[in-house]
Amino acid sequence: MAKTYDYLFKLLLIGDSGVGKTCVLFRFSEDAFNTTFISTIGIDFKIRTIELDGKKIKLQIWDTAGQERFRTITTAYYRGAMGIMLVYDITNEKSFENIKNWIRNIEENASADVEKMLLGNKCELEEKRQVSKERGEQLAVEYGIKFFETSAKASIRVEEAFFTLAKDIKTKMDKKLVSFLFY
Amino acid sequence: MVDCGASNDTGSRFVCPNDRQLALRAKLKTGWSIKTGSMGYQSTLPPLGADEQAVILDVIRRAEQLDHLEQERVGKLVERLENMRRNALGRNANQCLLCGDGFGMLGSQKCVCIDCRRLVCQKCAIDNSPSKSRSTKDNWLCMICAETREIWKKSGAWFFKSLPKYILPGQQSNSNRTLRNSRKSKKGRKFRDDSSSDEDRPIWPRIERRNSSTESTHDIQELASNQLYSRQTSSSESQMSKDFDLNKTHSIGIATNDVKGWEEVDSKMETTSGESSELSRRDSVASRTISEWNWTTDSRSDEKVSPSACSINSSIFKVIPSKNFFLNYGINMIPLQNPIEENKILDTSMGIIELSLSYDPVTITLHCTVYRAKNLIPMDINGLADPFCKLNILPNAKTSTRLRTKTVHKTRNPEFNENLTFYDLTENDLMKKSLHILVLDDDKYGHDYMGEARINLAKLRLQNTVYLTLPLEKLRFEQKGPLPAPELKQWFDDLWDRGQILISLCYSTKKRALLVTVVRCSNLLPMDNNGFSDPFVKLHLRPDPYHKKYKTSIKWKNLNPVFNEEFQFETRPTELATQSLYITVWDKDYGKSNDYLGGLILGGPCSKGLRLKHWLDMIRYPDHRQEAWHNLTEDTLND
Repeated sequence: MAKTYDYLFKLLLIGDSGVGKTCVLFRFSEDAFNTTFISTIGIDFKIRTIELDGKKIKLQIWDTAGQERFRTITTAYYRGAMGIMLVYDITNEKSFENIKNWIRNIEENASADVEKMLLGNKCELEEKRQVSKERGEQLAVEYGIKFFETSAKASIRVEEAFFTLAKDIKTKMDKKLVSFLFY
Repeated sequence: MVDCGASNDTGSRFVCPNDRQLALRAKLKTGWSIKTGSMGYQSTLPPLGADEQAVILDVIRRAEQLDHLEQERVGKLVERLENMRRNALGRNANQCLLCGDGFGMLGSQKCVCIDCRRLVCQKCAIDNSPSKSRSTKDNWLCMICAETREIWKKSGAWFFKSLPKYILPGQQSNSNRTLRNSRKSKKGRKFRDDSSSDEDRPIWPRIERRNSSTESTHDIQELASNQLYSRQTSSSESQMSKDFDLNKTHSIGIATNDVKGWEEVDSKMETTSGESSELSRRDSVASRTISEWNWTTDSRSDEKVSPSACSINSSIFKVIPSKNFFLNYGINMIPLQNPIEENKILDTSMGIIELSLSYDPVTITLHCTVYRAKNLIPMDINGLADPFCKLNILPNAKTSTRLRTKTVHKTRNPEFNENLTFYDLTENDLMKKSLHILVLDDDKYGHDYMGEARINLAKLRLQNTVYLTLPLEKLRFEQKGPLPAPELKQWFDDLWDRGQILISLCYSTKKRALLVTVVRCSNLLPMDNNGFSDPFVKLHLRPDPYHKKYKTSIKWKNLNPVFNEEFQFETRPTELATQSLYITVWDKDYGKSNDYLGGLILGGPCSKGLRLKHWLDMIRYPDHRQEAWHNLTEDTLND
């Protein structure tokens, strides 16, 4: 592992079980897709190094199990995350409604200035759509966070979403540093 | 092997769980006992199977590996910064902090670093202005501060507000060994020690140190890298006294060497740097910087004391960041301070002070030992000062809580070595109060401010003796009439209870005269029965061939009179250096002699500190008005 990098950002994916968190991560880290559903056990993480403004940024992305029974383990990882992606399934109304609960979970467990982002996954399944894009956007506006409709299967905007999140964190870092030094 | 909290402990239900289990449970928030863990909603969920546990543990292990790599990476960064600090050559204000090149007409242009406010040459600074178009002069960052900022970003400290754990490159093998040691011994006693949790790991280095006093290097290392433990040194009496002795040796080492010039110190630095390089790496970053910026006493005393002893010694003094830092980051940050982070805030330009504190709850007394101050700002024309410390428990300053040290004359590195005891301090008081240390220049004509430090007593665990090294802060950039901090007002009023005067000086080349404007006074003493005074100001330049004396008008019934009256003293610029201006404030009384309210002397041989600076500035910048507040003293200036 002689790979060097400038910054290490820790990201976290949360959302209901089966919305495709692992698939989104798999797409981003390996650029691949697996159709069989394997429920994540507890936690997992993947690494990818990206480049932003000439800086190498290593992303350590934590994938969490959506299942309730792993909740205690997964929440333990909230605190260390600099960015959190809230994922729902556009073909599953319930998973969208649960985003509120996930947000509350973040507020309770994560660091206060964590960067958040909302992802509506499986957007290639237009015919089975239950949550309109507008509703997703509206929710994102409500929480003041960014929103993307992605598809891990068709590889739509996954890359873009991660890059945007990383960029937002980096911007925050540069800004924060200045304010920190001149408190 | 490890279960994840909510799982079924077969057979050992009533045996206290081991520390690993407890630690995990703490993380999972399942409660401390097996029962509470299963009492919550957990009970409705199926427990994790063995295979699931294995998977999770595997992930955790992978993450730990990654963390380890990251810690090494941060360690390398920290070492790099350390090397930079160590190699900084600048020793005074006329040199670049980093490369030691002199400033001036022929030398390089000087820039002020926006972070540490030190002077560096343009080569050793980078332009920090956001747009590359135009570099304003006040937007430079010295290389050290730039590097510190980088580490702040690279380590993720910007987000977590403290530097993460790191492993210094040279330390690697050793630290692994220590870890293994502690694990092993932990396993040995895990059934004896019920309350052991993850938290007891940090105590280990300390215990080890005691067992193997000077030989083993790695525990010293551990100790230095984790300053926290050294802070709470005195768990055993013998250890305490040993530390104390070392301390003494240390100070002797300094005293004997103090007289040597900078050049000699520098060369010594170079010769010792080889052998002490490893040592210094073990030394904590923070205490290192403190000791190394301008004094280099550490490396000198390295020769006197045995190396390992010295590294213990220097890590005893825990460096406390500034008050602002406390405010920003709350209690829980304090014990886990990482050295770098302290550096960030640490501004030693006003000098530092070393002291120790211990609280005796039985006699409700707080013992404070002021050892020394170093590198204080010069106050008089010889570049020296006559410092003493005033200690006070604030707020609610009672006279009984005000103590002072002796004055050490003609030095910027005074050795006080004085014990001061505050009586009648309950533990309740400690929670609410802070110890304020004010360093003042002793002077017949009022005490000049040389910096201050504040220690929040609630945040120190004073059961043990706590050794502190504090950077002095300059909270008052100039002495303003009414002093800023309200809780300090009373205290300051006592120091300068005669009030203040605002004077403007200007040498006019056109009129060939010194123009003195008495602007206003504040906080004058009430001398009359009505609770007021009727002040006026007398001015007198000495020696003056023209024997001019001036008086302002009388401001009736006013303790904060505004005069705004200008007076001229004809004189030559060359003579100004030998002349002094006598300023006295009087209360006008009819029928009896006027009451003396206070006075001061600007310029001349008796002038020091701000008064001297004011006078010199006036000479240096003719045709510019120099305005400054001064404190009035009660000493009667003979007319």
